[in-house]
Amino acid sequence: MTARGTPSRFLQSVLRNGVGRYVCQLKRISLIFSTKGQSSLGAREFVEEGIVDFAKNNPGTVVYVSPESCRIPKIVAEYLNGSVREEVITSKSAQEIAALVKKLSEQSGLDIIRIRKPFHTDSPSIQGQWHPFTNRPPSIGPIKPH
Amino acid sequence: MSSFTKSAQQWATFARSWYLIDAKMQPPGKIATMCSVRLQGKHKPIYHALSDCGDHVIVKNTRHIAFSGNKWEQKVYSSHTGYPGGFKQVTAAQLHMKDPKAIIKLAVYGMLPKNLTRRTMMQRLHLFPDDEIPEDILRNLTEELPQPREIPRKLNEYTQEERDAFPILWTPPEDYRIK
Amino acid sequence: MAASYLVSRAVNSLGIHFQHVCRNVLITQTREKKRWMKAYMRLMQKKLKIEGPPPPKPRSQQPNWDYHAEVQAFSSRLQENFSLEVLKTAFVNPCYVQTEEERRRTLGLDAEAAALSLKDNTELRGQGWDISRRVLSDWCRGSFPALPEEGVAAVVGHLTGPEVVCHVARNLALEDLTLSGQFPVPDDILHTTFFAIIGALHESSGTERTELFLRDFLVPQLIGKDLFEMWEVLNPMGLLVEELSRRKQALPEPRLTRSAGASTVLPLYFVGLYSDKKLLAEGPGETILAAEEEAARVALRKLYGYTENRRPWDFSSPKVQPSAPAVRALHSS
Repeated sequence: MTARGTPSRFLQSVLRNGVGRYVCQLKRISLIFSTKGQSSLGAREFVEEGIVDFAKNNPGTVVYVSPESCRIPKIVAEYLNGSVREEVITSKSAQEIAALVKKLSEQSGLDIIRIRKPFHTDSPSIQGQWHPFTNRPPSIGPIKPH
Repeated sequence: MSSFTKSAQQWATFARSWYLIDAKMQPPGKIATMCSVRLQGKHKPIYHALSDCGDHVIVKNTRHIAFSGNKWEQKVYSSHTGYPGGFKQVTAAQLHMKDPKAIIKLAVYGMLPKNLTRRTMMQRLHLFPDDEIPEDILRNLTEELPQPREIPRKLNEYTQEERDAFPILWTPPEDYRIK
Repeated sequence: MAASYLVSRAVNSLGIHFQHVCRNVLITQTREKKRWMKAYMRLMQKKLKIEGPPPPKPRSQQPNWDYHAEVQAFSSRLQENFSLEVLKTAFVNPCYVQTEEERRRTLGLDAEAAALSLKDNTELRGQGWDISRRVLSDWCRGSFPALPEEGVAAVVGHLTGPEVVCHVARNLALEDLTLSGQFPVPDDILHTTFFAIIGALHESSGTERTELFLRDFLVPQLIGKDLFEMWEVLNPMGLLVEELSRRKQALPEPRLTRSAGASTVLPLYFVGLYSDKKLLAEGPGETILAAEEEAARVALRKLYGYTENRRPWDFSSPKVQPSAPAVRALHSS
């Protein structure tokens, strides 16, 4: 697909996060895994080892651990702006899951799509934006060459 | 510095300027380079290939352009009518006699990018064979551009003082014959 | 069991498709082309098309929801020491209490049992509203000393208006926690709940933290906003004349300074305003009148100090006294 056909957005942050104070954007994370399944081995290990530390270090995130009978263990991350991301953790080791959870907790929840321009500002220039008469002497008629 | 309302700022930033170039005794290629840069808007810091930000250019005195070398006789403008045997070739001098605007026009047309915006940009090029420009076009002008080449003065345009002040590198012997 | 299995096998072998009628646990798994599937899916699609998508479900009715933990996380996420009782009260809207009592009554509970002993946030939101208006006005006067009272009122009105506040509240996930009668939470309920939270913060942590909270969450919404987007001035030139005569300066004189494409349909004019032969401001416009008005607006922005190149606001956190939060925590616990 061409670049014009793909969805895109501008560089932005939720509520100008970090201008005032930083708010962790991950509000809720649920770990859904099976108590018996082979594919949830790493998830069970992560529940035993890492998840309590994660919950302690991130008091702003509510962590739900739900053992169910499921073949595909997954992590459901919900963000402050209402977006929900599901990550499948089938046959992943505890370290990989820990890294994934860390990554999810550091994301903003905005769509991960092409960013149209790698720069964005709301105050484009303190000198004022350019216009055809910038740095030109005032005169009503045409300006003559020197 | 300035803090305009956003709509006014937008209007000002993307307004079209009108440039005037005097082609008297100028090489057409250099005039065309200046024109094509401004018609595309490449002289602006806001230039972007997808935004239509070209300016208007007026070229006056196209009748008085100056080709260097023997281009008037040797430069050939070819065209084909599309019919059998319709291949036409005229020299620059012949073309210039027929239409004094054609040489500059063809030079600019060749320098513009070959895409769909080329004809639009050409419409923003205004050519005048002589000094007379209509009043309503003159009112639009924002800037007159300097000529790319300094016009050499003829000997009879120098005053006597200037001629006397010219440094003499060599004193001719008395019996030297000047043609 | 075995008998019924045999019976259904017999029915099958007769070629009459009765599986969906006499469904048995033992033969639910059959390997075949599910010929009923296509009709069923088509029916479901038609139903979806007629009825539309199902109404959104509040997060609290979905799996994995612990209200206490959520409220606690909300408090620590914002890095504030809310007292949880007050914070929970702040989320309770009167319409929620009403709807809930009605629901209980319809379920057949008598009047005493149906009554909810919940305190709603009416008091807190009034308090929060007053304090936010006061704090934001003080902040605005402090940052823009030259701005007149109407301008301050307009800026504060914009910041505390439903548009900005609901945007902030939605992006702080207040919608999940708010207890309201309807779902999705209407804008006015969300608006009042946000102020109830500010009231709760004021009650639990004091004025200073409230000021910081408002500065950190509402003031950044002003970034990139123009003064006259919030404050509608119909006659900027009149206001400028008034302002200059109050400052005892010479009245502004408009002069055309530059123009481009004057005889085209896309003209650009720049009008400069001179006061006492000094350039006050210059503004662009499509016509000379529009340019003059724009120049007056630019001059007003300069006089009020609300230009684009003003010094950015200071969002750095003040020096924290190490003893104060501990004392507060003791009180709240």
